Amino acid sequence: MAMKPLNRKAETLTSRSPDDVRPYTFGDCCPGFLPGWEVAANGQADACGWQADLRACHPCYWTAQVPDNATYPNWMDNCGNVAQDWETGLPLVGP
Amino acid sequence: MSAATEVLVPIPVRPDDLLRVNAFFPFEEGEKRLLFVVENAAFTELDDAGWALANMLAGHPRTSRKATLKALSELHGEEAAVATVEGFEQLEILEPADRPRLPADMSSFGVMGPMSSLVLHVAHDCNLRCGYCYADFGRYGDSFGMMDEAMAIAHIDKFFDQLGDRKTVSVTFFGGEPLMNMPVVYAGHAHAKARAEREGRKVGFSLTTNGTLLTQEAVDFFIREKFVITVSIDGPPDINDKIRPIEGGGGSYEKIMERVRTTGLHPIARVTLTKKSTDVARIVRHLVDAGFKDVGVSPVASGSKKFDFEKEDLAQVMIGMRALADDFVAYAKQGKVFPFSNMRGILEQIGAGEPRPLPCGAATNLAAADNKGDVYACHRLVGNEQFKIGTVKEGIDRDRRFNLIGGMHPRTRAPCQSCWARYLCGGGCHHIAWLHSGKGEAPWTIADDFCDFLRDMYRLGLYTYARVADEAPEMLSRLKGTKDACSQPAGL
Repeated sequence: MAMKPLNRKAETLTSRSPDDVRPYTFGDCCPGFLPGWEVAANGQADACGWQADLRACHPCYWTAQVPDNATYPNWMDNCGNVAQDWETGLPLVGP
Repeated sequence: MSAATEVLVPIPVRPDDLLRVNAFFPFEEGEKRLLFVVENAAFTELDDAGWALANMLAGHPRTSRKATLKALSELHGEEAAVATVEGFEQLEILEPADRPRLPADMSSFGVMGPMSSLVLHVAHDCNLRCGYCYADFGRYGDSFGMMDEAMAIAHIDKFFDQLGDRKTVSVTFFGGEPLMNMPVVYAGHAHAKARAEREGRKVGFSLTTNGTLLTQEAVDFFIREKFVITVSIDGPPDINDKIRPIEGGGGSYEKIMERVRTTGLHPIARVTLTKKSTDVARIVRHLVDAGFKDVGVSPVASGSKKFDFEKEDLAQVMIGMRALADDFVAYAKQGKVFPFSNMRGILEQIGAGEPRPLPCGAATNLAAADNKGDVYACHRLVGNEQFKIGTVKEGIDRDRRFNLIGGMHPRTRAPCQSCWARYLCGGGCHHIAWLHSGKGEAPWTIADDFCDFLRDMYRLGLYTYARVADEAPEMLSRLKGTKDACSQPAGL
């Protein structure tokens, strides 16, 4: 034990498992509420809508519009590794 | 699909590595290294790795999880580093940086239910002439006067009308000196008791008095009806009599104590500390020895330089508080609770670990009613238009109540936003804040020196709690008291 809880709040908090504290975050908040990712700019269903979902939560939880891959097939070509470079590598595109 | 999209497929959504560092307060005192989490009020003792991590994180709003683990592993080994970082995550000091921040506890005014306590100012007059009296000898900035029976009953009725399904309530008789108007105390008590019985509610009664006018008849009544009686007294005679004189001259100590000794009353003592009475240890010990079942102190709030504390006075008071904290631990080791309500209140609050966004129950649980038919946020603020929250005719004005309390949340007040103790102190006594802010417009804030004093008090409380947890752990269960903000005198 790295620390000794002294009051009730500390007891409650430190008795939680790491899964409670750092839940695997994919799918925990956004996809159910995403407004309109399913439709691409051409009016068709976006073949890769779920990929947009992947980044939609970042970094502020509230959804950020990202382009669909059917209309902007190259929009993330500058992004070598999305896990590391997504903030710098993903360009803004206008409709 | 472009080549780049293939890179995307199995990766996690978040750069899980980036952690936000939420506010925490680490400190060393005696042999102990302690850590208090500002927004959730969790309180722990740290080992070496925990202390190292606390120091590593201090001053950083964000950190990399990997880098933190690596740095801590180099100092304390990988196992301890992982356990410590996970511990800090459990305590919500470290959180994924993109996790939404929930506002700290807003419950106290998210749900503002019916009031639970009514303070009836039955007498706007007093037979003492204490120079520091915030009530202006009972006048509250207006004229001397008594509440008549009809007004008392009207206030009680309006209070009960607004109770909804609240089952437990309390009525306090206050002044001025309420014993100057005993007929209205009797009538108010009988009326509230009857209404509570009729509606299936439980009502408790209390009364705050200077003690000099207690009669055997009144005391028998208080004992029979289980009144909680608080007697204002400022310490041993050499201190009390200088600052609590009877109208026309002479000290009040012997008059009070003679009645406390002979009538069978077992009251609480309530002390006002002033510039002229900073030896809080001597004062509290004297009153505990004199047989008061509990002693609480409150700093003077007169708005006068003659009585109000300056920095050096507060330092004196802190010396006494430290001595009383030692008494508290010594009592705890003997299985007893030292009857000093300020320290006990802080320890109970720390034990519960509930962040407190308000200093007290003023305007949320408690309202004070005067003889003109107006209702205010608390007994200290009677007569003050800025704190008026209703009338006996209209009842509580929900907007006024909400706006008043909403504007006092530590989140909205600049000095609180950077203070580690903000959810322990809840922003401090509204009355003191109003005085310290020159009686101007809201939001009112406490003066810096006084905030320093409050922080010292809470730091002392945390340390004392940790000592009790260590030296008399079985006593902690006896301190798991109420979460009711009303139980704690806001000004300490």
